[in-house]
Amino acid sequence: MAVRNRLLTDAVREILHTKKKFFSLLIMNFLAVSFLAGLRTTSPDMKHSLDVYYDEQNLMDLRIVSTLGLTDSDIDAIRTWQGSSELPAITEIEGRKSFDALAKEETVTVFSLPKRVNMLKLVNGRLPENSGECVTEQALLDKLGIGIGDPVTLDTKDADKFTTESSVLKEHTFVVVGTALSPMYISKERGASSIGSGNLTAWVSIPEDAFTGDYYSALYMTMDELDPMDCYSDPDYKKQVERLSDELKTLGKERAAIRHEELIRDTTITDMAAQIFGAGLDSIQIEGGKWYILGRSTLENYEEFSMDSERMSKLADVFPMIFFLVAALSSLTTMTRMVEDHRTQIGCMKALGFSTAGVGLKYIGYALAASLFGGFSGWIFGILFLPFIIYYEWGMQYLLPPFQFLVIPKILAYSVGMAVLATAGSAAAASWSAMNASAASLMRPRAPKPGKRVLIERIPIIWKRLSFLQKVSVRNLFRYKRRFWMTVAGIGGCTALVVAGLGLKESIYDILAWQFDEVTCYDAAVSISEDINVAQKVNLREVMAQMDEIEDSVECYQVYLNFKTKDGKADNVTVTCIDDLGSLDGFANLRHRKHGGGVRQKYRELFERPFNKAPDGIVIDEKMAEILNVGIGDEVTLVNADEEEFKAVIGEITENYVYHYAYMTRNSWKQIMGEWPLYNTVLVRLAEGAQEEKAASRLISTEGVVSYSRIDKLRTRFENSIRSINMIIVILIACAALLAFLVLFNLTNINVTERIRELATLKVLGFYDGETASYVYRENGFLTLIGVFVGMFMGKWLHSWLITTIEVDYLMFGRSVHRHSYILAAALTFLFSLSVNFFSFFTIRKIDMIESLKSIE
Amino acid sequence: MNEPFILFENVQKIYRMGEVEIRAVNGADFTIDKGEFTVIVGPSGAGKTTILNMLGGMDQCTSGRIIVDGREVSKSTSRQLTEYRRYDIGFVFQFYNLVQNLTALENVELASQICKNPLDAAETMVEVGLKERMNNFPSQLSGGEQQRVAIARALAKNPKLLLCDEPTGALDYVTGKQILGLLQKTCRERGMTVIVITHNLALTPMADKVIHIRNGKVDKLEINREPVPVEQIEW
Repeated sequence: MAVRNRLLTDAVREILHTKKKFFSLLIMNFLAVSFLAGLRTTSPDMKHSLDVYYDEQNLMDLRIVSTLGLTDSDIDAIRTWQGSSELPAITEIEGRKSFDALAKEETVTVFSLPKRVNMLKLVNGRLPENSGECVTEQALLDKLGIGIGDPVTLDTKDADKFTTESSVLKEHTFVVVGTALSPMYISKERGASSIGSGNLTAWVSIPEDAFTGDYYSALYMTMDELDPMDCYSDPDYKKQVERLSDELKTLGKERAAIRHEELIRDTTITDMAAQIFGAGLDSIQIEGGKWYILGRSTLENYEEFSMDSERMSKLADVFPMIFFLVAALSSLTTMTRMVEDHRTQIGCMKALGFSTAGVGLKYIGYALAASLFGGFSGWIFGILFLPFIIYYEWGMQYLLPPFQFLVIPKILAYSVGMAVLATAGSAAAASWSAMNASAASLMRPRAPKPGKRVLIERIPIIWKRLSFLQKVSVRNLFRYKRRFWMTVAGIGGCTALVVAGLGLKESIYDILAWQFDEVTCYDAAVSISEDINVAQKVNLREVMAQMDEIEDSVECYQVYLNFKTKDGKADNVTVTCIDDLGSLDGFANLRHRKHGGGVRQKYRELFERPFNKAPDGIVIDEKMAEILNVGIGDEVTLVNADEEEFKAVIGEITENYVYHYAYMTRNSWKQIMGEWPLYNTVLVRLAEGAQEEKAASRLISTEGVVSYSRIDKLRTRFENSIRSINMIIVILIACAALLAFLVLFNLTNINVTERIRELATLKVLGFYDGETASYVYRENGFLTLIGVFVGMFMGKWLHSWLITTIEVDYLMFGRSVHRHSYILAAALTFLFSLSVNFFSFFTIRKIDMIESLKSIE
Repeated sequence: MNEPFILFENVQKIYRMGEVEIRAVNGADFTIDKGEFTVIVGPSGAGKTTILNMLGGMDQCTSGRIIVDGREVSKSTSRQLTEYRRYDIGFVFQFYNLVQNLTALENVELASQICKNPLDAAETMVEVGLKERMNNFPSQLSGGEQQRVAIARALAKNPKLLLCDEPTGALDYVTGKQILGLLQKTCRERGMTVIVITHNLALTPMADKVIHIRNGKVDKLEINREPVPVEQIEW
């Protein structure tokens, strides 16, 4: 019969006999791996869930919208169109009729029921089958206070420009037969409308035959061969779609011209009819049409979703690393202690003839078992629960499909590998010297660490002032160097984590107030039609002057442009042009940043000077200047919607935190663009306590006004997107604090056990329990003090690293940590340290003098 | 009747290890007078150390009475025992138990700083013959020197009672003799009550009183009318 391997028996029994120790190691690995794997998997999971949903609902890959509407002959033209050979084939093409309408006071988008593209995902009830039925979102039913089976009336008002019928709809009342999700709308935000309050709140889908018009608002196309690609993470997807849309542009120009001619012909007939019947129809001016060929990225929140999820991945690079450090630290202490305890046994095994590897395997195996079991269970827990929780917590601001799990082997290998490396690696390091010592020296009692004089003793001014016990403490501090560094690292790490966590929270939340209360102070931007005539303009001014709700307003020209330099690019920059930049005061305050600290060296001198409100060139925000890597006098390229490029020079750099803004005088615009900008926007500041809804409706119904955009929507959107980050920060701080606590406890315990003889001697000499404990506490207190001090610097550094890691391109977080966060972090650390010391008091009290002093081991 | 300085009366110490009862000390009776040099002898496991530990306030007896200079040690609380050790007892161990990170002098100061009427630490060091080694750390001292520091540490507290557990157990013959000589001198010159544990029967002639312990009981109590200086004893 084969003899069982007794080394293995010993190793297994070691685990069984030290369950507490083993489990604490295992838990550390569990936490670290579940955070790493969970956070790492979150972003792919989130994107995958949506990609699956998009494919299932056959979401369009491209859509065409035209200023003049689109027809069946456009569809035929695209079907027969031949692009270059390697383009992806268009599998489906479907026209969609749609317009905005009012359902009571809610502004909704009404569109014809999808047949094959952008399919609705039914939530409750059924889809419309007969005329007079509609399907909508639960949100609308909630707002209107109705349910499935109730009727809803759509007031179409002046929603249509291009039909000669009296209304765009044959009937106006529809029975709600069901609620559904549309893959077109993952956002709860729906953008602006030219009717009602100016804000869309929901969609309603009705059978196509309810529409009177014969033209489509949009054509939706899908390419089935792109379905296997993940539309968010596969760069090939974007490339293919872009190639197709580029080639379609030529066709677009042809088709738009044909449509233009058709419309003029139709209108002439109508005009003639109108003249005959004497109806006072305004002659309709029709401008040349243009196709806009758009991909998925123009869907509301499509890109934001992906950016939000990527921010999560970035967090995954930061926090779990701290957990691994802590795991490594505790493995190091645990295993050092264990090897120390087993010194004689290790020597004995070696003397019996076991190899170094055979003996050492027990300790490395111990750590390996803890890291593998902890790692695997942590991985399963992490990828099952973290992405799920984050997805649904985040999902509150989106309308999301069911969650889809992904198992990514790379993440498994990486996260468990990290655990093994940190834990088993430390165990190997801890046992190295003992394993390599000779059997004889291992079996001899370890000589106590000799005492030494420390440097400070040679400075009599300090040394003489210390009391006797203080001298002892100082010397002890320097005697146990490893303990010194480990405690300082542990306590410093704890402080640093809390500083960074609190600082991060502030940095993110501070900018809300800075941006929306101090920088962009206006409450709304009212867009004016390009076609507004002088009389309408005068009227609008009068209306605004009379409205009590409006405190002040200023007219300007606003447009979105993309900025770029060779170093970077900033998209969707809101550019504001006005005669005198000074007149923006109170609406958009242009100034140099004083908040938040961390000004780049490059701008430091500039920010000392007063802000120049009449600069040569354009004013851009600080974050954009950082991204583009430009200073005053540097050149940037401006790109408009037609992809025309213009050169401009930077004249000033202004404070800004959310999104990107640029400002310039009308003169500068003329110089850069070659034409005078016309005012198309009125920035409005509302009076204290004004009812915004009322003001919005009043303005929207005024002639010449296109839309009313509320700034507080922007603020809410931003608040929503950071709320979930906040939750994660809180969880992480709590866990990190817990781990720091464990490390401190571990270290203090080791401190006590390592010096048990010394402490027992003190007890025999007649030191009271309090005195004996204070002998240890004095050192701990001092170490805590040093640790906290070091931790402040570590925290400051960690914070700025975190900020730059999770900061996205369109946000600038506060760059500094408030003083009160430092104080709070220090206080918390002292509290942790105190409570750990409180527990160790009992350990000290229980020290058995007789046992401890009996003999040397 | 004049109360003895130390009284042990039917003292028992019973350890319970699960089902098993171990009677380490099983009814020990003896008295020791002030200024006496007492040697407690007996084979290993006889209960010598347990007796000394109880006498030194490091351990409590299960039953019986221990009275030291009028104080009933056997009825003291843990706090009172600490005070007792602090002010009344000086301990010397086989393995010295010096604090490694303190110099010889500082080890003595460590003890003297918590007492009411301590002796001058440096003078005590001179007295035990370590004038030149005061500022050395324990690791820089020989075993004999370390034991002298331990004795100085015990003496500096100015205790009522000096308890020594196998003080020469880890020392060579000559050094051991010197240490015992130092203890004997301390007893004679200062009138200190000294109790020494040893398993070496040859040492008994140097004591005023010899207590033989066997199986947790006092087997025999000898009183030497004329104790011999340790220098004259050979073993």
